[in-house]
Amino acid sequence: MISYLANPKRYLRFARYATPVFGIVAAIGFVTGLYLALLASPEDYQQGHTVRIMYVHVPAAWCAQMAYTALAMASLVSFIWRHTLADIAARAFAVPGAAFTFLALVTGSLWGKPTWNTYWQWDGRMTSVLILLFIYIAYLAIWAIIEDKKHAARLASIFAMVGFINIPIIKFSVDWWNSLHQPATFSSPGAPGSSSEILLPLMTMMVAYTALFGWLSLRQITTEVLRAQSARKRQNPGAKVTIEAVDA
Amino acid sequence: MLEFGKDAIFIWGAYGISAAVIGGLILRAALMKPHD
Repeated sequence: MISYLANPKRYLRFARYATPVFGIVAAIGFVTGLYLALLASPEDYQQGHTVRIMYVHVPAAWCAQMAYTALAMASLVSFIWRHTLADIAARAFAVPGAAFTFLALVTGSLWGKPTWNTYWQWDGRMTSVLILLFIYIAYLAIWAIIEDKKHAARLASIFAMVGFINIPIIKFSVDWWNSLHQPATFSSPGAPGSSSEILLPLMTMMVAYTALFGWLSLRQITTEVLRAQSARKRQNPGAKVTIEAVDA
Repeated sequence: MLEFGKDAIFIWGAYGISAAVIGGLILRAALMKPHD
């Protein structure tokens, strides 16, 4: 799949159909998810209405980690095969990833105050997610500061791969250290926190957020590929655009 | 309907900030132009 999409023409053909599909799924998902989250779902017997914050907090945290995993994978491809489309993809994942990380932190903080009576605690989960935000910012800064894009791509891909160590730390932080966060709930169906009344809005919002991430990423990758192609055509009219030519 | 009692400010705060950030991301993506 990755090698198939590595060709810009094939990628653009795929994106022409996939982008609206992601957009439609995200739009339907958000409308349905918000209805379920704010209107149709019941209060939690312990948390009351504040459980509704979970429907925006958990999907944001999921997308933050998914985006970074995708960024690290694209960086690995870029590092090994020096594939420019992989650099474009990695960069496209960074801004939505940073935004979702920011949302996970802010919505978590707003959930924490009424639930734990604190906006912030330096526990393993919250600290590692804050570090993830800093990693995203540093990654974007590398691209912004270094003018030679080939050098920037090299450095950014190495940095992204090293930064990936933080993803399992986020995942297992609740098991390794004392935390206000509960251990993984999804892996234990039937647990008190995973009744269908709560799972349905949560899963709907997860689908909506994931589809939105897909739409955002495809939009940016497509834009960058088309920009690179038009720049190449301006420089060398009549040249066949190859993947090597797609240089942002 | 949509009355969340004493915790309403936290719930609307979380949804409001999410809507603002996601709206910004959508706007940014929608306004991207393939040609400079």
